[in-house]
Amino acid sequence: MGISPRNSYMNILLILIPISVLFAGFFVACFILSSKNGQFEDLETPAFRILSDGDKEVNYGENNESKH
Amino acid sequence: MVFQFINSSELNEYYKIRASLPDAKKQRARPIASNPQLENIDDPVKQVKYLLTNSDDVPQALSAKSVKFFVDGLHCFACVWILEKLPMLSEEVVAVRVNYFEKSLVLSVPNNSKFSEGVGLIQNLGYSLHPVSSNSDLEKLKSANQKKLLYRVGVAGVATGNIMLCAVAVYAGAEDSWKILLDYVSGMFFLPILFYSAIPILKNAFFSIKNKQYSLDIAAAFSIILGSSLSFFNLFHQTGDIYFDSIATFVFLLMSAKYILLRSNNIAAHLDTLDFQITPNYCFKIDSNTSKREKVDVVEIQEGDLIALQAGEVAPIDGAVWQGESYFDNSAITGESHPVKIKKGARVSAGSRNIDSEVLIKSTSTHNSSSLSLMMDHISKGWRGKGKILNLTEKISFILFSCVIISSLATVIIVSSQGLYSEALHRLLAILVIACPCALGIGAPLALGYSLKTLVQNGIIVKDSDVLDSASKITKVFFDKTGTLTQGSLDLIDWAGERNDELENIVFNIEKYSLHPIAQSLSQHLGARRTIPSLDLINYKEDKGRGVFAEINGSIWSLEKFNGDKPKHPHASACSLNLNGTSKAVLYFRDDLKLNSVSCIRELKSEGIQTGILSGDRKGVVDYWADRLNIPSSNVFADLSPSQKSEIIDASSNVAMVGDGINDAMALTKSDVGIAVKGSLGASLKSSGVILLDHDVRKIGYFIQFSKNVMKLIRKNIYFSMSYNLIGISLASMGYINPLAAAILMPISSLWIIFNVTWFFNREDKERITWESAQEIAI
Repeated sequence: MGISPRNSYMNILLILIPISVLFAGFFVACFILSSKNGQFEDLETPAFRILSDGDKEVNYGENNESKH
Repeated sequence: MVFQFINSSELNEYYKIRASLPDAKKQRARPIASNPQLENIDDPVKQVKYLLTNSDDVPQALSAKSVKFFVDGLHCFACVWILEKLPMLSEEVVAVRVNYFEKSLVLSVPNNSKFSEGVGLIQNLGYSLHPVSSNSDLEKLKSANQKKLLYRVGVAGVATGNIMLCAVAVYAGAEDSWKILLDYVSGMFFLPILFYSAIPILKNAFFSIKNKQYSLDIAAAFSIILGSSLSFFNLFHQTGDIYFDSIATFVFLLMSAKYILLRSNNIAAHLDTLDFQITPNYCFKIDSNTSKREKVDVVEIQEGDLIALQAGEVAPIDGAVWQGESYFDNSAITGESHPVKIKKGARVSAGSRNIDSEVLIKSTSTHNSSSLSLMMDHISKGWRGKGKILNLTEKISFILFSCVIISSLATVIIVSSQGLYSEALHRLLAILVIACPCALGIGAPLALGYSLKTLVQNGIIVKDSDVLDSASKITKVFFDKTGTLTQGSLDLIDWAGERNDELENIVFNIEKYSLHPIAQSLSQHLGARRTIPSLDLINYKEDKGRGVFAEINGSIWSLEKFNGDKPKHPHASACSLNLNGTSKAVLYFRDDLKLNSVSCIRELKSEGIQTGILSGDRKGVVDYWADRLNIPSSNVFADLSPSQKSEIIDASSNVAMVGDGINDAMALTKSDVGIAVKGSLGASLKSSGVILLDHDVRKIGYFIQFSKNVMKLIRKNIYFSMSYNLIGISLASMGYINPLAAAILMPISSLWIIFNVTWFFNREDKERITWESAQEIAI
């Protein structure tokens, strides 16, 4: 690709674009992992749970993760 | 009792927490109803169908077993808190996991222990539990589908965001090789959208075409395929514009709407996995060769098998009486509480209860093909069906689609005939992009999904979306009196006339089979004082709206509605105990208004809805209550039989009936919107479109107003998207809108609809909270 000297500061894009692709892939992976673990299934109860004193029964997310 | 339990468990913090929540509805302790489904829960065979196998739903280790329950009475954060604390209080409970959104909980107990302990604890707290049968394969499939759809939405979101970044750079003036590079990058990000996220849309469109049915997805798929092929063509040839950004946004929005809809639908479907267990689990089968009795599971009964049905048992299958005769109570099926005499050869349907003596029944169906099972199937289909509103939007979008085809063809032909080929292509593209009916497509399903959720949160179950449409047109609401407007407790206040043990025995015996509130109050009242011997009733008959009749020891006794002049207590419901037609005594019953009724009637009036009473009670009594409730006497009808009630309903239009799901079934079915405030869930579902789970009549006014608002919103959105599309198409075919402008307008219109709907429901949510606290003051 002919990149003119006038535009040379744009060369940073050649690095940024692959990085953004990597980031996109990373976020998709995170998203799929978290939804697999049931994070988006019940969106209301956790909001109530967080109000009670944090103790061992509360954290179900961990139990779920250990299943997979 | 609840207080004791909580105090004894050193959980008095519960009350502190509750007091600190201003809008937490104070929950009342309710009597623990015995629930036939709960008896199965510890039966090793029956239990299997409730046990959860899906590991996602089971939070604990393998040494525990879990069952999911639908919880009645889950109101606030304090409920979640106390329920999830149970494992600290009882060794028998491993974990409780509440899902506030679904109003359900998963109870886990150690493998070697019983559920009844945990269930008992929870019921003592005042929640009633209904086990949800876990059809694990279906459940797994459903949740897998929902997750897959979420993945597609997520992928579309990430890809769209990145495409937007490139698009902004290009629009901002990236040139030459940079523009080419950015276009290729957005093309690359577009691939997962086209080949992963948009797959359900393309698939649906394909199947619709194959089945020669029109669906919204056809238009969407058409735009997606055409837009992306053109964009890729332009990308490789470096000519013309590229529309990856607009198509990506379009796919993302459409898939999000689909996901929201599926989620809300699953909530509704969750209700239908509720096991409405009316029929028993076991019955006695009679072996055709040895004529021995054998206890078998009802699912093993085949057509043609002979079963013995003892007095008090419920028929598990449809069948015909083979031997013997008896009275049958069909109230669970037909809502008719009047027992019917069944002779040899007569048909018996599943769910009816044998009240008199043992009969042998030859089955004509299996358990799953019985009329009762088919009825339950029918209801669950009503929830999944499409309904009038969605059919309407599909019809409109079909008209729109034809407009698009015609106008785009016309534009191409006219413009190309002038030799302007590239202009023709431009205009065609602009039309296709702007004509995308996504605003139309997401508006109604989104609104319906949200309404379902809001209503369930308010304790209102609506059978299908059509009910919302009918409810929005209601101009008149008729109420049943006893138990609907009044508390229906009917305490015996006076026994005017002869009274002795013998008469009490007679009254108790002839009333014990009736489901009428007076009969139930009497048998409870008399039965609580002493044990009453059972008398032989001959020719027992219940005439709905009149009373009960039976022959005892040769004389005809009846307990009839009091018809005489000058009642001792003019405002109390009364009935007269007659021997061979002459009155021996008159019984008076006290009833009281529900506090909520007054505000309910007031609210309905302020909304301009007429109110009325349909009652079987004496005119003096009905008028008295009507007067106290400020209901105009022209709308008050007394002395009605159930069929007269339904005739009055039939004669009016746009009328809602509020009543008991069982005793008023006929009138409820005839009305445009039947609202059940009492009666079993199963029976109410059959007769009514709306069920108020907590029997609070105040919710009627709210529900009607809510339906009106939702229908208005849906209609407004349909008008908006139709005019947007039609104006857009005409402007685009005349060349006033270029494809780029179309691509910007298209998602803006969809976002406007989404904004409109979410804003509406946010406001609705806020109103709900003020409404609930207002109700507390009323109590």
